[in-house]
Amino acid sequence: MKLNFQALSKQLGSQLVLRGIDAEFSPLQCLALIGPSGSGKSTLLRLLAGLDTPDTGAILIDDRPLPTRERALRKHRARLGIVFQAYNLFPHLSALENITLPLERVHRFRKSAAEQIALETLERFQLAAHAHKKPAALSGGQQQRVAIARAVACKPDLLLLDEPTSALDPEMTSEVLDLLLQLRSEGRPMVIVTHSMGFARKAADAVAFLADGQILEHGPAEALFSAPKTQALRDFLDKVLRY
Amino acid sequence: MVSEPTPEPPPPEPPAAQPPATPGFWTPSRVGALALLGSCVGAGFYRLSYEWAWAPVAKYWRLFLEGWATTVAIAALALPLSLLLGILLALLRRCPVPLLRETARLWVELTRATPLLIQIWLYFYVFGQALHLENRYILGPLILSAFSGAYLSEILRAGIESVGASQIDSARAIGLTRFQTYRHVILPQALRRILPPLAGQFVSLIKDSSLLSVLGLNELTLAAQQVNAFTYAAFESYFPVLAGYLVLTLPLSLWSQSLERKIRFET
Repeated sequence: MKLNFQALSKQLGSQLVLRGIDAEFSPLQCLALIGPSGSGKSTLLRLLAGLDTPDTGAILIDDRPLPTRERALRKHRARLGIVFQAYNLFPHLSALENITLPLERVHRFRKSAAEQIALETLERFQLAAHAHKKPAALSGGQQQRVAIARAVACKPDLLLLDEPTSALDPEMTSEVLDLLLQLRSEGRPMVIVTHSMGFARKAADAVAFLADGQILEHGPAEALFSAPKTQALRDFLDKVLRY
Repeated sequence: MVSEPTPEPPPPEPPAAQPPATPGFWTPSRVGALALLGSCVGAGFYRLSYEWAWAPVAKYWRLFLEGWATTVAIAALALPLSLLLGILLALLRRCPVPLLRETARLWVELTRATPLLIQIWLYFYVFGQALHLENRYILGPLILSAFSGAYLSEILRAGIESVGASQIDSARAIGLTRFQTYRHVILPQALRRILPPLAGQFVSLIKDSSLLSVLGLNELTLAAQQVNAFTYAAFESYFPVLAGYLVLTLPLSLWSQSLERKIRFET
C-alpha cells in the first residue's frame, strides 16, 4: 500500500491546524505519527479516515485520491478500521454486539455469520470470556481491545489508531500495545498517532514528526530517533524521553 | 456469704444467615403516607358533612364505562402518534435545512406557549373545517398528539443531544449511515435516558384528553359531566373519573420506574 499527502491544509474554527502536509509513504506498513499536542496529528488522521475533508490538497491511497462526497467517504471508512482514544464502544451493546453491528449493518453479513466472526476475533484477542459484557463492565484496556477487535473484524485494508492508549494506565497500555504488535506482525498496514515513543520505535517502520501543522521530518523509525535532523524533533524527544 | 458461681451463659448462637428481606411494595412508610393523605381528605369531607348519594349515580355505570373506554381509545391512538410526531420534530430541529429547522422550532415554541384548550378550538374549528375533517373522534386524538408531540420533541431532542459526539464519531467510523446511526446508536441510548420524562409526558397526555370533552367527545370527563347533570351529585359523579384516570396513569409511571431500574442494572 502506498500513501501520499499532497499540500493538505485544514482550518478548524479560526485556527489553521494543518498547513501544507506533503509526504509519501511507500510501502506503507506501520506508520507512527508523533509530535506535541496540537501539532495536527489527530486532524491528519481524521482526514485520512474520511471523517473530515481537507480544505485544500488531497490524500492518495495507491494513487487514488480520497473522495470528498459523504456517500463515497462512508464506503472509504467502511474499508478502514478506526480506533479512537476512548469511548469507542457503544455502551448499550455488549462487546459481541459492538462487533456484530458493523458486520451486519455495513458489511451485510448474516447474523449468524457476524456472530461467528465476532466470537473468533474476540477469542484471538483472549476476550471471549467478556463477549456478553457491556463496556461498563470491562476495564479500560479491555474496552480498547474490544474496540480494536471491532476495527479488525471486517478485515480492513488499513487500520487507523488515534492515541489508542492515552487514556489508559501503564499496565493496560502494555496489554493494548501487545495486541497492536500482534496485528503488526500479521502484516496489517496501520497508521497510529501515539505518545508512546517506545512503541513507535519498536513497531513502526516509518515515523512522521509533526509540529505546528506540518510534517517536519519523516523516515525510518530508527534513523529518526537516533539521528533527528531538526532542532524541533531533538527538543521534543529530549522532553518526552527525559523521564 | 459465698454465692454459688453462676454458670456462664452459653454463648449466643450466631443468628442463622438470612437472605436480606427484599422490601415489598407496601413498606411502612408507604402505608403511612397513604394514611396521612387519606385522613386529610377524609377530614375535609367530614367538615363538609356531605350527604353521599351513590345510588342515582350508580345507575349510569354504563355511561362511565363507555366514557372510560373512549378515553383509553383516545390515549391508545394519541400516544404512538405523538411519539412519532415528537421524533419527527426532534429530527427536523437537527436537520441541515434551515427553513425546516426554524419551522419546527417556531411550531414547537408556539404549541408549548399556548393553552391546550384554545388549541383544541383553533384546530377543530379552523383546520378541521378547512380540511373537511369533521370526525371529532379522529380529530380529537390528532389535536392531542400535536400538542403532546411538541413537548415530546423537546424531551427527545435533549436525549439525542445528550449522546456525545464521540459516539457519533464511532458510528461514522464503522461506516453507519446517518439513519443507521440514529436507529442503532443515538436513539437506543437517548430513549433510556429520557424514559422518566417520557412517561411523565404520556401521563400528561392521558390527563389532557379530558379537555377534549369540550368538543363533545364522549370520553370519561364528559360522561361525568352528563351524570352530574342528571343526578346533581357532583362528588359521586367525579370520583369515578379520578379512579378511571388513575387506573391508566399509575401503572404507566410505575412501569417507567421499573424500566428505569432495569436499565440502570444493565448498563
